[in-house]
Amino acid sequence: MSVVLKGVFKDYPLGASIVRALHGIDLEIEKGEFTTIAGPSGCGKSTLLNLIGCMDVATTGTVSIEGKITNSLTDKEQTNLRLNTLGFIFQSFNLVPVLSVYQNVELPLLLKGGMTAGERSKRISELLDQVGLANKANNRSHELSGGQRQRVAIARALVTEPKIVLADEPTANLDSETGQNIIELMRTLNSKQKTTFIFSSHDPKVIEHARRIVRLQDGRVIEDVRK
Amino acid sequence: MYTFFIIALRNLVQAKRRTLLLGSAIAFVSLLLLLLLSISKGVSDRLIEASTLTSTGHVNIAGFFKQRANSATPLITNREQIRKLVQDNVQGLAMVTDRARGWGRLIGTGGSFNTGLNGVILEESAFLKEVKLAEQSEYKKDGSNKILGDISNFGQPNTILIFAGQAKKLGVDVGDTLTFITEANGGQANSVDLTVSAIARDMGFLSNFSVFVPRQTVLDLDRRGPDTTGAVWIYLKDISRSTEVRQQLEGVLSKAGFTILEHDPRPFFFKFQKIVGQDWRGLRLDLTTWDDEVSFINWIVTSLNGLSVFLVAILGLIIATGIANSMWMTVRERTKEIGTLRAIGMQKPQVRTLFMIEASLLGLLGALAGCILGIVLVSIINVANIPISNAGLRVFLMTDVVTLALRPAHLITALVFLPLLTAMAAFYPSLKASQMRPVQALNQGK
Repeated sequence: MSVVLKGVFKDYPLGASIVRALHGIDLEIEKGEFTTIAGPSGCGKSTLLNLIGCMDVATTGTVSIEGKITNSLTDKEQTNLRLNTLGFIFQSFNLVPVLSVYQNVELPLLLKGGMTAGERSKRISELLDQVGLANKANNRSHELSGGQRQRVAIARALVTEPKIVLADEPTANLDSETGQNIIELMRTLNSKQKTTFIFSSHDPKVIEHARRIVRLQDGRVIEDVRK
Repeated sequence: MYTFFIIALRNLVQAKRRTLLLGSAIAFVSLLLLLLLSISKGVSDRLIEASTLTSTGHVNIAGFFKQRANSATPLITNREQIRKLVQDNVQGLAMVTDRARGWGRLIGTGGSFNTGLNGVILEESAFLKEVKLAEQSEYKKDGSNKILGDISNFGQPNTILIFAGQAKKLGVDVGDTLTFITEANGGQANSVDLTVSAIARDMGFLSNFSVFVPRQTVLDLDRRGPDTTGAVWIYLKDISRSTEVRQQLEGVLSKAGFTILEHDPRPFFFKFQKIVGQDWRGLRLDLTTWDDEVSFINWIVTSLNGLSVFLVAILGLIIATGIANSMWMTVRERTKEIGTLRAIGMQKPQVRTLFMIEASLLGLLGALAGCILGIVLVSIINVANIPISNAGLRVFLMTDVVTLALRPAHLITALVFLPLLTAMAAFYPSLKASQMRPVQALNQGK
C-alpha cells in the first residue's frame, strides 16, 4: 500500500475557536493509482494532501507513506521523505524564479546528491523531452506560458523518481485546454512509470480523467469510486 | 552549493535597487575602513622608520654606570665584547652598530634647549644614509629654497647635525657654531664648541630629542675610553622578532657575566630618575626593543586605531541593521519560495545557508567595490604628495605630506570582516525563514 490514513482529524485554531478541517479520514491508496481528491473549495482537499505530503501533521490519527508512519518522524526525516519518496506539483507552479528551467528541474537532484553532472543532465533531458520542453531548458520561468510552467513543475516533481506525486489543483491556474493536456501528461507518466499520482481538483472535466475519485465534503469522505 | 550561489547571486541581481543601495553602503564602510587602516599604518610605518633611524635599533643594549649614589651615566663598557656576543648569537642579524650617548644643553645665538647627544659611527649609520637635508626656508625666515651644507662634511672633528626645528629655536644656520655643555663622570661641567655641518628635515616628534655628532666627540667630551659606548643597536632582518631577540640576549649577556636590569618597557632616558635613586654601584645593562623606546608616542597609533575601530563599529552597526532589515523583507517576499524549497526536500540548515550566502555575497561584493575604490584613492593620494599645511599635524603624523600605507592584510580584513558582518546580521532572519513549516510558508506566501 502506498498511502494509508487511519482516523485522521485535523484542527486549525481560528482566533479563540478551533476549526476542524478533516473529520476522521480513513483512506488507502495503492501503488500506481491515479487518484483525484474531489470536492468544492474548503472541503479539506489541500489539507489532506498536505498531511500525505508531510507538510503538516494530523491532530489525531495516523498517516503512513510507503509503510512509514509520518506523524512521529522528525522534521529532518519528514524532509528526507519528501525529497526521496514524494514529488509535488502546485496550483501556481512555484518555480524558483531566478533559476532556468533546467536548474529548476535539477534542484531536487542536487539536494538529494549522489549523481554526477552527466547523470543529472541525462535524466533532466529525458524528462524535459517527455514534458515537451527540451527546447526551453535555458529559459527562465517568466518566459514561459502557464502550461509550460506546470510542465516544468511536473518534470521537477518526477526527477527524483518519487513513488508518489501529489498535485494540489494542478490545473486551477490554466485554461481548460491546457489543463486537459496537463492531466493527460500526468496520466501518461503514471501509466509509463507506475508512479502513484494523487491530485486534488474541483473541476469536473479534470476529475473525469481519474481512475479513482475520492470525494470530500466538509472534511469527510462521502464517496470513493474506482473506474 | 553552486546552485545556492546562483540563487543568491540572481536574487541580488533581481533586487537591483536594494542591492545597489546596500552594496554602496557596504562599499563606503569598506573604503572608510581601508582609509583609516592605511592612515594608521602610514603613521605607524613612519614612526618605525623615524625612530629606527634616529633614536633606536630594533633591539638596544644600553646601560647605566653608577660611580656613586644619586648619579647615573648612560654608558656601557666592554663594547667590543658585547658587539661580538651579539654577532655570534643573534640569528637573522641585519646590522650592529653603537652610539655614544650624552645629555646636556645645546646653546646657540638665538636660544638653547636640553637634548640627547648621539655619537654616531659614520660608516655604520643608516640615519646618515637616509636623512634628507632641509631647505634654508624651513628653518630661517626669508631663507632660500637651497639646501646649504653637505652631509659629507659631517664627521669632521666637532661637527654637529641638527634638525630644522632645532635650528629655528637656536637661531643658527649651516656653518654657525653651537656650544654643548654637559656634566662629566666626575661631576664637573664639560663643554665643546660644535660647527653645524648640516641641517636635516624634521622627522616629527623624534626630531625634538636628538642631535648628532661623530662618536669621538662624545668620548672626548666625557673623557671616555674607546671600549665604552652609550648603547649597542641591533637591526634585524625581521623586526617582528625584536622581543624574542631581546629575551635571548638577556640570557646570553647574563651568562657572560653582565648584570641585567629587569625589563622596563619605557625609553632609556625615562628610567634615569629611577636608576639615580637606586643604591648600587657599577654597570647594569638595560635591554629594550624599538617599541619600548617609542612607547611614549605610541599613543598616536593607538589613538588612530581606537578612532578607526570606533568609526567602523558605528558604521558597521548601521550597515548590520540595514542588512537585517533587508533580509527580513527578502524573507517576507520569498516566503512562498521558502515553502516550495522546503516542500521539495530542502532541509532547514540549507534554507538558512541559502539566505546567509546571499547576505555574505552582498557583503563581499560591497567590500570588493570598496577595496577597488580604496586602492585607487590611496594610490592617487600618495602620488599627489598632498602637503600637510598644519605644523602641529605634521609633528603629530611625523610627515610633511599625506602618506597612506595600504597593505594586503588591510584588504583581506575588509574582505573577511564585511561579509562576516553581513552574514551575522542576516543570521536571525535566515533562522526564522528556515524554521517555517512548509505548509505555513506556502500559505503565507499565497
